[in-house]
Amino acid sequence: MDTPNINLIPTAPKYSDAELDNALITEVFSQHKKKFQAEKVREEQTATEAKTNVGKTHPVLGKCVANFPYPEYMFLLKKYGRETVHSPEFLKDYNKRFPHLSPNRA
Amino acid sequence: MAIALNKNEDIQTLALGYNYSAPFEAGDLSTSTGAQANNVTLGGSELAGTVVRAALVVDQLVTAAVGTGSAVSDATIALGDNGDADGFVDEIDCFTGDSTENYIFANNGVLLNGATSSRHVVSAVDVTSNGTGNGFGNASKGKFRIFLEYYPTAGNLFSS
Repeated sequence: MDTPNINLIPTAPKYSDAELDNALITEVFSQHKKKFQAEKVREEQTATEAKTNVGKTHPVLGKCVANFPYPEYMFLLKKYGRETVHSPEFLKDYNKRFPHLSPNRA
Repeated sequence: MAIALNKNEDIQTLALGYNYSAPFEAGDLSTSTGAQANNVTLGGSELAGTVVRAALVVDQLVTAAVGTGSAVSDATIALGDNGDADGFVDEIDCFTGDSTENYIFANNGVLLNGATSSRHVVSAVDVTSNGTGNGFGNASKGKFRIFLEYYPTAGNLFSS
């Protein structure tokens, strides 16, 4: 007796190469946008904290010359090294580029 | 009462290697006399992870003046975990007349001093206040801040 062909496994949907490329590009752009949105939120939070340090000098810790969002600080340490990131030249440049994150001048 | 940690964002403390800090006042601590543990929390949870460095700064000494009850006659403060109350920072004299105001005390407890251990896995971190005559919580003056290099392995903010 012949076995009936019952097709238990459904056929997966087929996409063209163009459709797959478009989906990938959309995903990359959307993740990129999310990353920048998260960075912007962190920057705004840090700018708010920087405002609270304007004109203040702590007797133990000294004057706050720069505030960094923590992930960006770790990124800078990895890219340029600890010594460079903490050098006066680097911090002066940071003051110029990011005045809203620099409560006092280095 | 709990002392809530914040992520550090200022260059002075980031450069020293601390990624979390918490300023607090005597009034935030226990109102009872004797050694009293005060929880340090992050995102509302007890700390769970590794502490690599710890420091305590005395911004303002505790004075005899109180809001309620009898006067404070002596005060010390320490930082450690639930197994060793001064394991991170040894007891610091912080009563009026002591010479610890505006000093930073770092890693001098046995759990972090480098001689016996240089990092410690924690399931709870405490500031231990020890007031004689009255508890820190009733004292009118006294300001402190703690700094930690802490890497959580659990808790609300673990993934953020």
